[in-house]
Amino acid sequence: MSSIHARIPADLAATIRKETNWSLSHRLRHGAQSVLARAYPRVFGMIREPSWLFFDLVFPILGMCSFVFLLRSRGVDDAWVSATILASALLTFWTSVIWMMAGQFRWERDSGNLTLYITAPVGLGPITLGMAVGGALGMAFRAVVIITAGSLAFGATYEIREPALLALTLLLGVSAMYALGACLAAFFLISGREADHLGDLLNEPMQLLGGVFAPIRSLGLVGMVAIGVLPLAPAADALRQIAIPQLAVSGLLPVNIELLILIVMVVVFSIGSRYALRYIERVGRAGGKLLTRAD
Amino acid sequence: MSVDLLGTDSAAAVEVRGVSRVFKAKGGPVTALHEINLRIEPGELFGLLGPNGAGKSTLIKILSTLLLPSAGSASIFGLDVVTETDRVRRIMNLVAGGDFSGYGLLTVREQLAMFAQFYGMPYREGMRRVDEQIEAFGIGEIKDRKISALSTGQRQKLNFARSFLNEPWILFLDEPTIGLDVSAARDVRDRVRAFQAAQPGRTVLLTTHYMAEADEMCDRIAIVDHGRILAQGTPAELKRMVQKESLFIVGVDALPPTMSVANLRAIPGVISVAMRDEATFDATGVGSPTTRLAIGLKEDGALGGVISALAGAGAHLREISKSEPTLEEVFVQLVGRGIAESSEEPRSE
Ligand SMILES: Nc1ncnc2c1ncn2[C@@H]1O[C@H](COP(=O)(O)OP(=O)(O)O)[C@@H](O)[C@H]1O
Ligand SMILES: [Mg+2]
Repeated sequence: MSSIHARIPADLAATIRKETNWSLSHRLRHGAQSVLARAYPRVFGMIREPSWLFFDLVFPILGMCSFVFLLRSRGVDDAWVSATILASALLTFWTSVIWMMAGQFRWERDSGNLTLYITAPVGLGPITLGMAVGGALGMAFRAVVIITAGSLAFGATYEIREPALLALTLLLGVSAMYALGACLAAFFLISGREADHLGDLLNEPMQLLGGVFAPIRSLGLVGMVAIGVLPLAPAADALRQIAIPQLAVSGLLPVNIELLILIVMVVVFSIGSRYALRYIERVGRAGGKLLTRAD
Repeated sequence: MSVDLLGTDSAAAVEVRGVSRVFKAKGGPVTALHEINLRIEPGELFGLLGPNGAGKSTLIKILSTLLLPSAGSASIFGLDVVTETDRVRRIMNLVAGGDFSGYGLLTVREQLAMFAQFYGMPYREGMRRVDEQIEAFGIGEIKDRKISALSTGQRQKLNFARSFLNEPWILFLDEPTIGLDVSAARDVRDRVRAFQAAQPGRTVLLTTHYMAEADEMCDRIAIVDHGRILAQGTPAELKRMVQKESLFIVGVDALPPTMSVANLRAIPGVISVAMRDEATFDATGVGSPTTRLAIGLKEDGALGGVISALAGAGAHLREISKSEPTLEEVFVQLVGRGIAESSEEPRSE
């Protein structure tokens, strides 16, 4: 042992202090790498599990079909069938926000991952962003399948006059949902079991169908406010107006306003999630229970 | 402030100054650590040995930036674990026993690659180290297997491989061999030693409640119970603490008729003599009777008088060995109970 000691540089602490002084470019590269690394298992891992893929696609498609049949039986205009298919695709993103964002930190904590993420030099920010990016990319694939399947089965048509506007709306809507998901992830970790019923509520399809498939106006004021804080409603309403010109007049608000709402949501939820992540780290280090597995 | 530290710091790998930790719990506050002081030198493999609930994990969590101390301060290579958290995280890694980290759908290599990105090295360098660790741990043939299909031993090797990726200066191991079979435990211990040997200064802090593991692996050990360090030192130093006499086992073919236990006790420096008749076996498996004498001496030097007295009386010496106390004995003496019976009630969390 003494021979090992003899070879230890006397200025090791100084060397380490220098080594741990990471430049901004180092930190940026590291952050970007971490986002991609965390997104990877979501994009590629999910494809590997055929049963997941099956359930992820079958349930949304079944839900969509039943709603389309309901609309048809009431003789509703075909444009609303198209809108329903579009909303179903958007709803897959929201489902993934609930299943794969909101509950995620708790799962990561119980598997020991959260401990490793917190103690890694990257911090929770890029890891959470990677979680979101991976989830969104994985779901984009499903959304495409759902729209294709729905369009083929029900002969739905879309008329996209402004593809850039459509893309922007989609991007903002999905970003707002996942940013909210990051806030929920922190909230669910802190609240533990008591928050479970909130998760159920947020995922209760019938609660949402009202806002997504039909005009939100029909819900009355309380319903409008409740659904309105969720990015799903303005995103669905705007997409409906952009992609289905016949329905443009039935929009709740003008598209521009809805885009503005989505931008505000993205900003507020992103900033909120940053604080929330810092908060759980602080509370976790103080209390001793949030960040590590109970053993 | 940091300049000051550098100037005076004689580069302790771990320095713990008066650290206490109190948890809020349902039955009232629980003090997991009481004003702990500890200094670990660079390059050491230091062990915290203690029963369940002693406070070992709490100390590891404080040092690995997972938990704040209620009082006191601690630093890793001069970096404060509370105020310089980011820097500490750039030079450390962590393995806990029964760790099921990662994603079951990823392969072994993909999982290591993912963590390599989190640890901040450039992509190529990360992948180089991933393959290096796969090689070092001999897990090449399972590198494309999904994590969910691994055995406990394979999983823990993967965890160790992960923890070496960033080539940490300080590695925290919290009961890392729990649940491992003998051969997997030996493999990971060998890797830890090789990891330390590869770069002088790499320091390991290990917690365990396995006596043999602590004895075999650690340069120094602190025995912890109820949040206090009861003793610390090298395994040999700790054993010396409890040893009041120097104990030798001397085997002879038979005690000559002219010699009795009383004669042996009369030899200067001899404190106690006990006699047992046993058989020894040679290489062909043929047994022959041996008389074993357990001889307690004031000090090692008194052995010469005993040997010459036995030889002078015509006894044939078969073996001489010094009997060391085990760490278990040290533990029982310090803690007042054995490590197995000292575990607290299982916690329900
Ligand atoms: N988060 C916590 N909340 C309340 N009590 C805790 C918490 N973590 C540990 N303890 C208590 O602190 C003591 C030390 O625990 P720990 O450090 O895990 O011991 P060890 O690792 O030596 O088994 C135990 O009595 C344990 O119940
Ligand atoms: Mg422990």
